Amino acid sequence: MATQQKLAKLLADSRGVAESSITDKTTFVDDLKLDSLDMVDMIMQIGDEFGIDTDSMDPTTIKTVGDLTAFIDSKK
Amino acid sequence: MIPTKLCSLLKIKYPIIQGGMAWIADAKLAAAVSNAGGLGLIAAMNSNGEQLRAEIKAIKKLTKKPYGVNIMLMSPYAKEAAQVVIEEKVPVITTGAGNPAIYMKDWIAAGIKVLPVVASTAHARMMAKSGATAVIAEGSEAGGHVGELSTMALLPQVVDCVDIPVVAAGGIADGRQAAATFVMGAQGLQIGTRFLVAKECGIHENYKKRVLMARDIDSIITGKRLGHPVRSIKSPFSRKMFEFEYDNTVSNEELEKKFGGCLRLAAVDGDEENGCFMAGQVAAMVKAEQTAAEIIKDIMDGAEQAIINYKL
Ligand SMILES: Cc1cc2nc3c(=O)[nH]c(=O)nc-3n(C[C@H](O)[C@H](O)[C@H](O)COP(=O)(O)O)c2cc1C
Repeated sequence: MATQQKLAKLLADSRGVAESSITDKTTFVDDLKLDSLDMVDMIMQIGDEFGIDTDSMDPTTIKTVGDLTAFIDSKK
Repeated sequence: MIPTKLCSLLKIKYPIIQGGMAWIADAKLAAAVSNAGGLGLIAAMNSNGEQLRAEIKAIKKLTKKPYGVNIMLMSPYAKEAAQVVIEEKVPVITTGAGNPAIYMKDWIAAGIKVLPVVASTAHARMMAKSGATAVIAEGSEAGGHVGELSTMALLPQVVDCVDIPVVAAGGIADGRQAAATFVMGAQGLQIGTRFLVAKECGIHENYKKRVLMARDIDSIITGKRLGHPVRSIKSPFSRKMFEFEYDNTVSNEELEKKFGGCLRLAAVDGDEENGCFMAGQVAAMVKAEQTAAEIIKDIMDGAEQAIINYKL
């Protein structure tokens, strides 16, 4: 849960959306309207903020905040 | 002469890369640029694996100097091209329109120098982390497919965020612009539009005429609605496309179809009605057809002169 909270705050701060509107079901493409450059930006930001290696992060399989939370936790 | 780290990395005399341009940048143009001391690129975009191999074999006959291949990642042939460049021991690869991460390991293991075109700082950092030799920061002044940020804004931000050399692209046609990018920290330049009118560039004469006749206000971006904006010279085709884009009775599929093949129509057939004459904002500064060697000399001499002349 801590991971998802931190992630929601990060997305809210950098993408200008309300933190409360972000749930584990929030999708990056359809809900947050992130384009391919946004996705690259997010991957690098996640690496910096969580101190994890994001080389294996594949945006075609990680589609929701829940998916990303699980990915981050698996790398910690 | 302005020697940069890029010159020693790529083993070239002048830090000028001729941009890969689909349907345009072939072995003849690329070899002329490489023979003149820059780095010529063959565009792989419109070729399948075997066509690309033939073009690579052709350039090997035309020059002994380093050259490169540009791979557009959205091309249906990108995967084939990625393999052919390894088999043919191409010294340098540049990539456009996407993220080459899946190919980087194999290319680097094969000893190829990789220079991805980047449109953001995160993209640049990701490429540097994946082992890129340098990154090409291309601003939206450029001809062809473009991003949002201008060279003026993007270049210094990319320079600040990576430790590898940065090549500036987009909006460079003369020595003053080249000098400005060096001042902002670029180690090299990539030029597309000015090389369109190189004597060794085999595009249709109507295309060259459109570039030579272009005015400063003739630049237009179309294709935003489809997610791949393209900068070209205003023409009957581009004005029509611009209209269609804001016409919601035209579906995305129809729009996509109308765009299909428009660069080939311009470059190969010189079709003034239906062709898309892609070129950058600096097209209006390009006034004469010259050899690749003359273009390179003019830009490098001009850059040096601009730096010497500079006073507050
Ligand atoms: C007609 C045309 C076609 C292009 N095609 C490609 C391409 O296939 N791949 C690519 O990476 N860049 C392509 N570009 C971009 C150039 O490689 C280069 O980065 C750009 O032209 C630099 O900006 P300038 O036009 O202001 O010189 C193209 C540019 C033009 C003008």
